Amino acid sequence: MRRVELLLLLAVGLYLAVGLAVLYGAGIVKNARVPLVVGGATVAALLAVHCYWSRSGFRGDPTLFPAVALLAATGLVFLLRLDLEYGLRQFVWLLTGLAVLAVTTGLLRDYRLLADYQYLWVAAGAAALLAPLVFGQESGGARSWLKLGAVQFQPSEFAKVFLVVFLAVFLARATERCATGMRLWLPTAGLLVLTLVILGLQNDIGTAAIYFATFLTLVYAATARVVFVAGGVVLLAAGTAVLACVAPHVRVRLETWLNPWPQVQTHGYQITQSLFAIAAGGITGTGLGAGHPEFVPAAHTDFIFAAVVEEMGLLGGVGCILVFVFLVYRGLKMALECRDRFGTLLATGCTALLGWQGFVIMAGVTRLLPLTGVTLPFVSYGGSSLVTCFILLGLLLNISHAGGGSAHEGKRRAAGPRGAGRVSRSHRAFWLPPGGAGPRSDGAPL
Amino acid sequence: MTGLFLMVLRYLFLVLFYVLIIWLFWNLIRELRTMGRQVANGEFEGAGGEQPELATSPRLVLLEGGERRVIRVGATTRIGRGPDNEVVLPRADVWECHARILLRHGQYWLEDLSPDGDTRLNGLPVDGPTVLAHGDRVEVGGATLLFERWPRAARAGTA
Repeated sequence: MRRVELLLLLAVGLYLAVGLAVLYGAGIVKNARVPLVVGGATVAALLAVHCYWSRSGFRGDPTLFPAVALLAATGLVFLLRLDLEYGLRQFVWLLTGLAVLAVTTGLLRDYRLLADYQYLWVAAGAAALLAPLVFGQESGGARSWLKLGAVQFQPSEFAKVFLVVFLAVFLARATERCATGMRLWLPTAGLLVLTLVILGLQNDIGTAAIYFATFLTLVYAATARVVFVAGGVVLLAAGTAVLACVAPHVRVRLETWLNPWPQVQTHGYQITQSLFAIAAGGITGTGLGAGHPEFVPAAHTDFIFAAVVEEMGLLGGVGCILVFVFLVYRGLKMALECRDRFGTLLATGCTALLGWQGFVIMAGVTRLLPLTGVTLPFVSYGGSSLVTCFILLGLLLNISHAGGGSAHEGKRRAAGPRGAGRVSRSHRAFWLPPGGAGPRSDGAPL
Repeated sequence: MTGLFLMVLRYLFLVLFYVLIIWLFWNLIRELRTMGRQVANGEFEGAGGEQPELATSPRLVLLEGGERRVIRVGATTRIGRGPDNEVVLPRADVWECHARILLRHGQYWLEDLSPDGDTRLNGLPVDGPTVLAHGDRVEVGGATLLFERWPRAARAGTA
C-alpha cells in the first residue's frame, strides 16, 4: 500500500500539466505535441516507478520520491520555458534518471552489498575524478567534462557517490573496531586532501566545497565529536585565505561576492543579473513565462534558482528551500532509524551531498555565499547531475526500505517476511572481518 | 479572455506547488504524532546504535524447556552460575562466571570468560569480544539465550 505516494505523484502530475499549459498558452512552446508528449511520458514514468515499487513490495519512504518529483517537474517546466532544446534534453535525462532510480532500488535493495566492495568504490571514484584531467574538455572555466560520442558528461558527479559509499564503509568499519588516531584520520584526511587537490586542478571549486562539507558531516556523524568539525571549518577558512592570495580567480570571486557592483559589466555581471531577476520577482513572481530570466547567464544550470524566484517569486524560492529542508529532514531521519552503522553513515552521506549542494548554489545565487558553479539537485539542467541525484535518492530509499519505511506503517511492516535470523546473518557478514580474526585485532581494550 | 485564463493558470501553478509542499509536511507531522504516541505508550522501536537508551531496552531471552525467561541487558551483563551475576544459570555445565555482555560504542559485545571456552555464538565458538546482532543465539554451556536488540521487531519476526 503506497497510496500516499500515488496520490502525491498524481498531484505532481497535475502541477506539471498546469505548468506546461501555461507555457503553451503563453506561446513559449508553440508545438502542442511537446507539452503533451513531455507531460504524458513524465507522469507515466513516475507512475511506472511507483507501480514497480508497489508490485515488488518496496517499503521505502513514500514521501521522498514525490518531493523529488516536485523538484524535477519544476526544473523541467523552467527548462522548457528557458530553452526548448535544453528542456527536451532534460526530459530525456529525467526518464533516464527514473530508470536508474528503478534499477538502483532493484539491484541494490540490500544496500549492505555495497559494503563488500569498498576498494572498488574508491578506485572508481579516483578514476572518475582523474579521467577529465587526462581526457577532459573545458567548459565554463572548469575542466571536468568527458565526451563520449554525442554525450558529454561530468565524471566528478558520479565520483561523489563512489566516495561517499567508500567513506561510509570505511568510517563504519573503523569506528566499529574502535580505531582512533592515525588509523582513522590518516586515510580520511588523505582522501579529502587528494580529492580537493584534484578538484582544484580541475578548477571546480563548488564541487570541492561540497565534498569538503560532506566529508565533515560524515566524520561528525561517525564520531560525534565537534572538535573535528571546528578544525575543518578553521582549515577551510585558512585554505580560502591562502587560495585568495595565491590564485587570482579565487580572489576575484571573493571580491565579486563582497561587492559585485563596481564590476557589474565584467566579473559581477552574472551575480548582479541574478539579483535583478530575484528582485523583479517580488512576492508571487512575474508569473511563469512572463519574466526575463534569460538575461541571467547560465540560467538553465547554476542559476535556475534565480529563474524560479523571478517567475514564482519569493513564494517559489521559499517553496524550493522547503522541499530541500524536507528532503534533508527525511534523509537524516532515515539515518537515525537505520539499524546498522554503515546504513546510518551512507544515509547521512547521501543526504549531506544533496543538502549541501542545494545550499551552496541557492546561497551562491542569492549572494549569501561566494558563487560557485554547481547544479541545483533535481532542478538544474545536466544529465550527470540528475542521474547522480537519482542514484543518491535510490540509495536513501533502499536504506529506508531496510529500516522498514515510515512509522505509521509500522504494524503492517512488522508482520513482514523479515525473520530475525536473516537480519542476523546479513549483519554478521558485514561486520565481522574475514578469517574470524575478531574485532580485537587492533588491541583495543574492552 | 486568454490573458485572464493564463493569469489564473499561473496562480494555480504556484498554488499547486504549495499544496504539494503543505501535503508533504502534513504527512511528516502526522508521522511525528504517531511516533509521539508510540513513545508515550512505550512501544517505540528505537533509533540507531548511538542512543540505545531511546530504544526499548535490549534483552536476553532464555530458552529452556517450555519456559521463557526475559532478562534486560544493561551496560554490563554477566552470565554464570554464581549469585552475583545478572543472569544466573544454575546449571552444572555453566561456570561460576561464564560470559559477559558489554555495551561499548553503541554496540553490545559478547565476551567469553569460561576457562574452557564453552561459549558459542550461533553455534560458533567465541574467540574474542564479538559484536552481537539482533536475533543472535548465545550458547552458554548447555543453555541458549536469544539476544534481542529490538524486542518489538523480534516478537513480530518470530510470530
